[in-house]
Amino acid sequence: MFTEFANQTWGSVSQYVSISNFTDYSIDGSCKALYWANRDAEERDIVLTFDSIILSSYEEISLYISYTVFTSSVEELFSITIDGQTFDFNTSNLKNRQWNHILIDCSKMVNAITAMTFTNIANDIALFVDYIGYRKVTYNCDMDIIERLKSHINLDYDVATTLLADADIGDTSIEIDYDGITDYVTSTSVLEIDDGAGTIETVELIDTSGTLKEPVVHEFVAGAEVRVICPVRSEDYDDVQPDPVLGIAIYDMDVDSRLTTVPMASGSKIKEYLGTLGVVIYIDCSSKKKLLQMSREYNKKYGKSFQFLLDGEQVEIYMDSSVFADDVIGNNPRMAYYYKIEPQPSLIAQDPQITTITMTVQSDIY
Amino acid sequence: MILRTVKVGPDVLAQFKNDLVKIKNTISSNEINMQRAKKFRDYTVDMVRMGRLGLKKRTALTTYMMGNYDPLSVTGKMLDKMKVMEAPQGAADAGYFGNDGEVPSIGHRKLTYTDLAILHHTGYRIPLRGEKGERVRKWFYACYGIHFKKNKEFLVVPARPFMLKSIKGYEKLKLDETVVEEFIKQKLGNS
Repeated sequence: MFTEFANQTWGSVSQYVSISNFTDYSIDGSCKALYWANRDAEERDIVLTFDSIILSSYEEISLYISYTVFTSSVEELFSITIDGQTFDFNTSNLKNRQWNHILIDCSKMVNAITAMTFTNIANDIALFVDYIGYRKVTYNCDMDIIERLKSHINLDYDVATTLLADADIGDTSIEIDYDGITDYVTSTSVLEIDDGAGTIETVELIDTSGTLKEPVVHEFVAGAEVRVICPVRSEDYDDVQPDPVLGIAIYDMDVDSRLTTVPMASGSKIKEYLGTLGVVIYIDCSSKKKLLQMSREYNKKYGKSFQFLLDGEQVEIYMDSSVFADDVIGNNPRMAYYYKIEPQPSLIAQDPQITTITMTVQSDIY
Repeated sequence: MILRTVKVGPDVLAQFKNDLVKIKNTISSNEINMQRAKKFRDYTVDMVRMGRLGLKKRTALTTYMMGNYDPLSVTGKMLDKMKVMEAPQGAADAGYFGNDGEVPSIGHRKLTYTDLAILHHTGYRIPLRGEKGERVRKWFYACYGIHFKKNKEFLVVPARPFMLKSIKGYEKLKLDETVVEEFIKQKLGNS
């Protein structure tokens, strides 16, 4: 489980520091780009503040950092200070021009923390910082995968129409224009009503006359766009069966475990992978035409392997095989993709940083 | 350092060359892949029959319709139809079901064993609404006397990818290595 620090605010007392949102290069869609208009300015601290939190019940602070060095002589890059501890970063432990995943042990940070300071920043670098939060791997790690996949995958059903009559708050049905789309709206379709001004509401049909499972909670006027979507559902949706649907289910779980060493900003931790999870992702749709269209979209966007964010970290998931099941006994056609992935490893032991090694060497040659 | 000198005569070299050719022919033959496929097929069938793949249990509905036994173990005698088949370039298919013959216990004329294996692997949903849904409801009533609630939207059958689950155990037991070793030993002897 990973949670981003809440209400993050970036600031610096230096007038020369520039902090901006950067969307071209990011882990989760937008990162902070930090650089200096005057590289000789003395005050070089940047402070990230957030809602107060005690981190001792979590394992690590997790963040991604990338940097660009403008001169080759730079070795010491910056330090991070949090809860009175300082962690130094240099060119030997962070790679230039690529995202570096940094983990800081927080299991002993018993004080309420409201800030993290980037300090001693080298003269000639630009920093990019992204996806900052805290995490702990629990026994719910398998469902963490399913939840993260649910939020990562989306497909475009590509069917839209309009409201034929106003929809008022509390209405239990809506009137939509079925012209040309009757084959693609089912009695259990999920729709998005969009007023074009920022209000979007998701509603579920329970028949093809426009009756809704739950009443409308916003007002929409006739002419508002109505999109049929392909919702993503996981194992626990037995009571709701949308058509179309992208389903994510677990089909297998391995118990093979193995140890791993996870480097921290200071020291390392010994963790244990608890076994591989077999995940089937399927697209199930009464329209074969739409199923084929969404399968092709899936193949292009996700396919044999893709990255997604799990417990604050970019991980890769790999496909084992895929099977297409046609409509043969009245069933909806279905495309199924089978993947294997290991959940994040579980903590075994803290390995303190080694600062001094004393070795006594005796020669055997005499 | 001591160098050991071995004298090799033409007859030994010829024998060595013959052995190499024999090894090459053995390991590149289609026969070895057919043996591997057969071993995997037998293992899968055994595991399913013994209920050791941890497949999702039958629903109450299926148990009512077909009896209380492990999923896939007897359905349409599908496992008996799981075969091995030569594939191009010396390969072999371990899970070949073929497209001949209907599946008897399902009673659907168009359903082949390949279809059935695919449906087990992917899972599926059968709509119970609309024109098609009405036909499905009528069929269930006529065959099994089963009425579905009016608001039930789908018959949902979970995915049971038995071959994917089987290959995991097969690899863990290193049975593929075993069959290859046995095959080579059988063909080349212990020499």
